[in-house]
Amino acid sequence: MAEPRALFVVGEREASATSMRVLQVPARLARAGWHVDLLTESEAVAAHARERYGEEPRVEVTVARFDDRFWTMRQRDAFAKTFIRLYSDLVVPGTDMPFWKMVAFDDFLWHVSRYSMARIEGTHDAVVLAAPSAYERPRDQADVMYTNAVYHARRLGVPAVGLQVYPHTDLPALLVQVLDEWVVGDERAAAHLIEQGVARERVHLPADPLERHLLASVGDPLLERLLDPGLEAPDGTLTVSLINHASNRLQLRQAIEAVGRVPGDKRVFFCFVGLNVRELTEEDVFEDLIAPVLREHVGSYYTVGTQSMMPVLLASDVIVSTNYLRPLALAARYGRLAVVFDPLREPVAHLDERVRQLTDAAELEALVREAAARRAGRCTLARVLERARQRRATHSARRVRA
Amino acid sequence: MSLAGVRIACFVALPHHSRFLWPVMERARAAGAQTLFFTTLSDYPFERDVVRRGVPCRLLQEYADAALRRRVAETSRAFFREWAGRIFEWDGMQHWPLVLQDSLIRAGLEEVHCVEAFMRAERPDIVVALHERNRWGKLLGHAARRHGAAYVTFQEGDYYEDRISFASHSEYSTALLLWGERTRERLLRHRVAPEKIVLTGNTHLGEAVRELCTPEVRAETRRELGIAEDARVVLFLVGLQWGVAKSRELWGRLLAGFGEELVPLFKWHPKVAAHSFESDYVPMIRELLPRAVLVHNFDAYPLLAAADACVALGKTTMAAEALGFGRPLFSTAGLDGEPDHCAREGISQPVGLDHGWEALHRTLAEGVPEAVRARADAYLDHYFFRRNREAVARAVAVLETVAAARGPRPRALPLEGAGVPGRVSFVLPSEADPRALLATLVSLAQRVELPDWEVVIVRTAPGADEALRAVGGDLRVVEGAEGPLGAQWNRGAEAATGERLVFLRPGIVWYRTGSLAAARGPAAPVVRAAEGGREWRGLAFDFNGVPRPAADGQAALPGGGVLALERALLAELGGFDPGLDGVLAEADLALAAREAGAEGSVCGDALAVAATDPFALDDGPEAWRRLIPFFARWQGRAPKAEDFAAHAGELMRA
Repeated sequence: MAEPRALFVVGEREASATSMRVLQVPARLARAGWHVDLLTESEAVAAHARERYGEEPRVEVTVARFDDRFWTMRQRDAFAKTFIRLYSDLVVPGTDMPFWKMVAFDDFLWHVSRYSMARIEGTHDAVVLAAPSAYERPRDQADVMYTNAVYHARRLGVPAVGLQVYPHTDLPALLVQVLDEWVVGDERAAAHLIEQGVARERVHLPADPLERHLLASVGDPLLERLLDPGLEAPDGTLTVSLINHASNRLQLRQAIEAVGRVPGDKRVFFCFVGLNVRELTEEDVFEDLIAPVLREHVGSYYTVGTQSMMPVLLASDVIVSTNYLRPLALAARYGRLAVVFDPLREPVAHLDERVRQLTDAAELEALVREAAARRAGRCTLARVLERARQRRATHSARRVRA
Repeated sequence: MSLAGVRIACFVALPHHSRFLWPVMERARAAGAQTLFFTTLSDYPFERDVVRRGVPCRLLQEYADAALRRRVAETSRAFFREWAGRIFEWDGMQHWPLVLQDSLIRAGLEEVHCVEAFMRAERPDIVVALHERNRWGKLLGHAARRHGAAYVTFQEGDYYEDRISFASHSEYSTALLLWGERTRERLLRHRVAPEKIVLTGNTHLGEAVRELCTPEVRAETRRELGIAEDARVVLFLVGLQWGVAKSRELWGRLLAGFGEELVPLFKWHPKVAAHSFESDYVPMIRELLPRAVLVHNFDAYPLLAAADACVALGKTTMAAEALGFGRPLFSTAGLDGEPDHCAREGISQPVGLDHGWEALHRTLAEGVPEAVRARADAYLDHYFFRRNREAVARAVAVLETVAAARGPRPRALPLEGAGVPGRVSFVLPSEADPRALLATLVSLAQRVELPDWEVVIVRTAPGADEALRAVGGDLRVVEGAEGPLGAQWNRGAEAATGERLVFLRPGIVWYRTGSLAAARGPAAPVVRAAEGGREWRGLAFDFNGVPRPAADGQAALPGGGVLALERALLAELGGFDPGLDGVLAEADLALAAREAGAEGSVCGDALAVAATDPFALDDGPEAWRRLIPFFARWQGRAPKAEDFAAHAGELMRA
């Protein structure tokens, strides 16, 4: 089967609003097997994207071309006449005001754009838009580009997916209804769209804070450090970080065994914390006592120095430490499962409630299993596209049968 | 007449549009009106112009409360849900960019509720707006109709080309005030209601010329612009198409040969963004013409006063206004491939591009060629009613007339007695055409087969005597009254003795009375035009809310040249409005009867033939005084058609 192809549309204002982070989305889609045509009206955005994707054969960058045409009054009038003929039946809900009277002669006629964009060519399986804001409106050309992209999706019968890059209160009400699927940054945005009439199953909240971060208009320095694609785990692979301790080797072994008992693909990081005991370095102890356990129970693993620990923790699904460390709370705040596992000590009464305290290895195993299951079914940008595509295909097939 | 205590709410928007309203509103306020200015929240701060004049300005959004906010939210949700599907019905919609579209529609959905709240809170007697052909014009017109407020509108600017929106220019308006005959002709071609048109002149220009065409203003403006008092200044009026032209090569070709001895002063089109004006155009023009002075956000009219000649670049309202200021006019075509509008009219001399600048230099040295001057004079006469001398006074007179008509319907006919039982009186004015009168009288004599009937003729023109001498029988002739048809019919009714009265006009040829004499309430026969095969069965209201001939089954009211009713009902209603003319006098009475509980009817078995058109209008400059009161009185209470496509007819062809 041919690889799926997506049209990714982003205007300069939307790219800038995310400090260009949204340009990472095509990369993630490409890694998930999509071929992505990145379309922008901006030479600057295109240059930025080309720099990034120069070596990536699955992402092609195109700058939209526009004709600047002066519509004569006769042409504008012809537009208005068609508008009236088509929409004279529409009344503004809750009033007796015919809609066409409100818009046909001025709001429509005089705002038919002077920029005309060549029809988007090619076949795509999905169209993805960095949704513009109603309040920080895109420039005319970008607006025309987005509009053409939406019509392109409609012509092809493929889903048009909006990425929420501005606050959900800024989303154009029309766009909310016109797009088929929405990817949002938080639960409140999701609730807002559902309240606006978007079906619940068409509103998606990526599980990975990094994916949400790519769409955010406010930067997060911590998540920024996760943008290294090397930290991204293959879809369906559980990432577990274990944090070393000077003396809790028994607890560490039990934790490794518990993690090892959980089936499925796993990527395990072992984080050094910077210990030296007399003549022994942390690595010496690790190589002799921990590494064999890791090899036996989880197979391959990576070791991480203190400098890289925080990004690794944030890239993990599960973090297991045998004692409480502040980074655990921070990682938990970013939605990570952070666990203090110590079968030898009673849980501490007053600790950040987002950090789980466990004394039972079976319980730890169960939690890791749950995390693995969540990981397998979690919402990602790539899955949103894939599901939308399948849903549209099923829908079309049903329509054909009907 | 007076405007004392009359509440007039004036909607303001762009300053170069509101300039037409200010002089009228100021005069109205001086005449006792309670004036209120309002606008809407928009990216462009419309309220700024009002505030700078030291006048309070209300915003429509001030009238929003919690309930209104909920209604707006519900409306928006429901609308966009439906609209999201409808926009794909036509590929042309993708030229209306979605985000911009969203913002415009959302504003409209808010305003539709805010206007309603405004009308409820302020209860204006008259709403004044520049015109109906945009969102606000329609929202206000619609709301004015819902709330029974009169709606007075104006001409937007120069109408130099046809537009489909003209066909809706008088939909809700009680009165439409135009600059002159030229615009009236164009709008009539677009099915604007002639009954609602009042020629006033340009309400800004007349005052502006008087105030600004002085040596002091000329000198002060030049000082402000840094232009020497003795310099020869050529004002470029940059239309929108030229205003967005960024090609240096194009401008270079246009200005080649302009000369260095003249000072070129450019008034750029206000629709161009300020930043773009400064960065794209000022350096380019200065490079081409180092002496050039460029202004953007500057009152255009002192510039006209300060200039020695004007050059219109493309279509712009200011071209005709420059002529109004007495400035020699030159022009260049716009960039849309259409011909040079002003040159085609013969009111300007073409310059630039293919024409060079010789005509300008020659004219500045020798004066405007006589042929051009003569054409410009004729154009101004046709274009600006009475050269704008009476524009503001006439506009205020319209407001006064409208305000007066909104009071109680006049009871002009103190009829006494119930009339002779069983007798039918036919009442008609003699009018000026003796042949039409004779035709009616003869037809009545031949075709009326009632046991007891009479004819009362109101002598309104001396020529009638000739016709009256030719007929005998039971005719009674009374002298006419001052005023239009309503007054004449009242005079005739005073003299009539019948229990039932039939009002008609000369040129109506009676054919069959049928049940008309016995019908209860106001009634009319079927009327057939003598020529053209047209037939009508009472009156129906068109898209403009004007009574027109009704097709079978569509009559809203009886009337259309003949109206019959009981004497007692006429007495109860106080007779016809003596200030109304033609079919509007009939419609006014029929509407009043309906409100009094007497439904009208059209008798299908009664027939008359119209040899003259009862719907024909006197189109004299003062005819509006006998027509506008009808619309002021019945605003919101008379029906109107909503089918614009049917109204516009062949104008809707793309």
